[in-house]
Amino acid sequence: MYSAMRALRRDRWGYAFILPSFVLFSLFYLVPVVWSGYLSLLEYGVFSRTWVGLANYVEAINDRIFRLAIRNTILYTLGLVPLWLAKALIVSALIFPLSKPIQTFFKGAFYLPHVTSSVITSMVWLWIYNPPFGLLNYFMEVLGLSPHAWLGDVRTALPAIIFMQVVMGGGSSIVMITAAMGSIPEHLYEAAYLDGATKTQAFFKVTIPLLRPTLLYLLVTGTISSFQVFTNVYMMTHGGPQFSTATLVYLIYDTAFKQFNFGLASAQAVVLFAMVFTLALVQFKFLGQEVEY
Amino acid sequence: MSRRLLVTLAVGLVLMIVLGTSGIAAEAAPSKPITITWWINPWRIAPPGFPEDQAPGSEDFPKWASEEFMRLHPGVTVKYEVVTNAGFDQKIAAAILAGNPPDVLRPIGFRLEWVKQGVLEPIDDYLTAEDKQDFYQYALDEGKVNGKYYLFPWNNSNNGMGSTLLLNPAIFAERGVSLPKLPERGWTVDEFLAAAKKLTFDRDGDGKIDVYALSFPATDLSVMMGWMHLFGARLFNEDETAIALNSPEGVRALEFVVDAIYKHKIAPEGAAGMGIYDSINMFHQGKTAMGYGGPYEIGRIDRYVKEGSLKEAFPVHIAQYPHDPSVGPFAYHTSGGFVVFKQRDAEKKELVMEFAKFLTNQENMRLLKSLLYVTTRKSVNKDLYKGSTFENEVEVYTRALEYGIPYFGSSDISTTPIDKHIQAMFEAALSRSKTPKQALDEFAAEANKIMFKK
Amino acid sequence: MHSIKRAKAWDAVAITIVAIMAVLSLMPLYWMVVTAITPPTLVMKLPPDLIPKNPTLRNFQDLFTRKLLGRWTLNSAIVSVTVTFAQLAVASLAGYAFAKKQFFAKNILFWLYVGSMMVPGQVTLIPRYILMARMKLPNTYAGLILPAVAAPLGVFLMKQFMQSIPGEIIDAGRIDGASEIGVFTRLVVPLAKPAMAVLGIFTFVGEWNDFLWPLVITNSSEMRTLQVGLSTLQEEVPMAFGTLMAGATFAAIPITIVFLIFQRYFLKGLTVGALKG
Repeated sequence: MYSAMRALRRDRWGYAFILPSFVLFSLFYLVPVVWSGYLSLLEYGVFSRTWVGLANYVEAINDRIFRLAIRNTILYTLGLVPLWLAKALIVSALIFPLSKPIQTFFKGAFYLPHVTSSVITSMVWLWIYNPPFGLLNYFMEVLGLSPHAWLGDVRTALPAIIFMQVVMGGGSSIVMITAAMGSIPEHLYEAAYLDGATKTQAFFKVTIPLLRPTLLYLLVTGTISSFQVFTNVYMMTHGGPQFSTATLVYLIYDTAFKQFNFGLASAQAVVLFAMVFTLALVQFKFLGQEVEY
Repeated sequence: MSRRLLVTLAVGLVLMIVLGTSGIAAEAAPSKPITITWWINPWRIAPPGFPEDQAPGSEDFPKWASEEFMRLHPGVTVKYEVVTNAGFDQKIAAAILAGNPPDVLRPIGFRLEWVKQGVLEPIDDYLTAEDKQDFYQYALDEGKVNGKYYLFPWNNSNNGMGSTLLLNPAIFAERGVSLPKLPERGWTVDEFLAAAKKLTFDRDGDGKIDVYALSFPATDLSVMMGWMHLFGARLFNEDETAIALNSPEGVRALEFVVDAIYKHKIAPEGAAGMGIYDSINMFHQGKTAMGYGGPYEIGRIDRYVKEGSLKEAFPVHIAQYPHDPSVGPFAYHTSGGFVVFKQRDAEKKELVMEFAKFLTNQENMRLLKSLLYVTTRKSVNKDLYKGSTFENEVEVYTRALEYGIPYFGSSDISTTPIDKHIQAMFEAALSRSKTPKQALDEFAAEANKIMFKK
Repeated sequence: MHSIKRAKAWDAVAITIVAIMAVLSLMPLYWMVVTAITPPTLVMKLPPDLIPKNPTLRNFQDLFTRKLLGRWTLNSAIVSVTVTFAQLAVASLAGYAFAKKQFFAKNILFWLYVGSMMVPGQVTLIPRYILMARMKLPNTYAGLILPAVAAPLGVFLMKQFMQSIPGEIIDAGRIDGASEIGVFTRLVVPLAKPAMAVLGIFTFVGEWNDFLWPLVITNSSEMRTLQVGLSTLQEEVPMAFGTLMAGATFAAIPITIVFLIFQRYFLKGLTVGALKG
């Protein structure tokens, strides 16, 4: 009892610093999240709430389309997140040594398009992928290749959406990485060069290790956001062809708002949560060691 | 005594004159202030007296209708809200579950699920015998569940998608193809196919097709279900206890569509990845000779030009989907309208119903003309477009609707759980990853399992 | 000497590649602006003109005749600016606590923060709305602002960044007799400026562009934010394409300004001196 009080007293500044955030977070984030978890155990109607235990989970898992959506979402994440990160790292490394105005230009060029509404980006890319009259097939023909129905073929629809996201995305990662690079102390590089390291070696020996917390953040949030992909799929393919781009949140949207089945939708969301959470644990294990220098 | 009577009469007379001139049918003010909330998605309808040379915005009609109703019913406040189509489902679901839905709503598609949840008021008691005569039966049936009505019909819906085709007469003339004959503009499958082959051509001689007869948007279920009715197939069997789309007629219809793309090559490949806006764009750009939709879609072209989205207007004619002579023409029967959410206060309920009736009365329904919409009242449709430039086209469209079928079964059954499977079936067949029969059979098996647990 | 030349050549190639990628990703933005300043009769041309002929501001004039545009912009500005500053304050405090302080169940709490981001917003939307409806917050600024301030993403970001602030600096500050608050405001915040700038941009942009929540929580045209207002414009039957693009361009201007203001704080060299000390 006494030692608990002492610990409380010792850590009082920790509590004080966390308190404003914790109050807001609990009320507006944690409560809805826990509430959603609770809904997954109910048959949830406007005037009736029936406890059904794990029935919604059984129904979700037994649904072929749901399992397909899990597969698609994992493929999408595996395809997208590494490419996003690689693009962001390479671009950041290349533009970081440049002069300030040029650096600003590039950061703007990569970041600002990424914030235009996905409605507009979807429209542009629908035009690019249009089978008879689109830009991509125009180039295919110029190169002497036969045109292809990019979004109409089960084999290419998901890769086409990933490709579009790679080209359009990664802007915030570039901003984030360059910002973190800016706070790496110069003397660490000086020391490395004195030891005879080349630029590339310095990048891998100094930059990457010191970027680890940032990279972890980008990896985790990138995984979370790609697991929740919705608007582009909704706008561009409606989950088709033949469910090849049906992703989890696309399905959850359908279950909740088209079929009005919130219990089932919540169960689907909890399954999604469990998968991302597991992935994040792994990511933290490999990248999460405290970095101090 | 007689003086008081006289005064009362005089006051009454004055009141009646005042109210009469302001168009009020001696309505008593409510005993307490009443607020009616009304949600509607964006409709750019021009209210009465709106300047001809301006394009109305989405707030103009709801604002006018609310104010007009408040003028007619002192003591009542109408709060309207324009809700975007994006996020509409989420917003309404959140409001329903939090127990504060609007009183009156124009849903994007009638939702059987809401009736099942018990959140809608039946409106039977508020439909007069005259109303029941005047509304098309199909429009009333759109909101009929277990023998009760839940929807005040308003517009004949869906922009005519799945009901009629649009023809670009310039391309027909360029290829020397004559249009099907008025007043119905009906044609047989053979006539259609012969025309379509001529309408697909390489204009500049570079060996690449520049204009196709039409396109098939696999993700637009109304348009595609139209084609499925070509030889008489239906989605459900007679008593709606099983999927019937994989009948021989259904297989034949889907084979017709697949052959149109790959054998006759009258429509571009890649249809499995196309939606209705791809079709609309290609038609607008003159890259297909035919498009989809009813009079509203003609209005779209006109307005795109006015708004600058399209370079120049081109005349458009409406025609039926082709038909098999032994089956006859068909079109899609569906309508949009207003639903009323559960009311706790009896006095308010009367006024809310009154408001929904006000929105759908003959006079106000005529306002749909500014969007070239056909209404759901016979008495209004009779002369709404008489003498207008579009008279013939509206005539073709309304005649087509006489052959209407509710493509997705009656309102007692909801296809939302299988909609995505219908789409997948079209995608599989149109990309030739399955044969039409295979695609339909597999769809039927899966849909039967989902909808009828067998 | 030779190898330096070769390295330079490599750099040139690499920069060219980056430049091509930049051009690619600028394309939709460019198309948006071009369409916004193209005379109405030319819009929707496929393919679009690369250089607009006869540029015009007519689409913007159409946009500015919309009665509530000013109000929507004001709402967006109030909400986004408030959320950004509140989020910066709250998240940097909490991020610092997570990175450098000890307290009970710190790890569990941290995973609650990270984990709660993993439940899709489409699902938490309903409980959150019901909760806020009970608190009578729909159609208020508080309803727009509070959930965004509570978002855990910023805490995660700040925690990750502050982890790499050397512990010696903080200890040194303490030895110099600074109070806990003094250490935070005079040592930690200056060092965390790049991260705070990044968080500022992300929060502002996220809030400015947010669509679903403002739509659900507001009930009158006067309380709508710019994105919600603009999207009624976009969905009006029929769609006014040029005006829509003018709207999108208009909405992108504050984002660009905020980006340019904040990005100064994370250019190379700004923090080096401080860290060396």
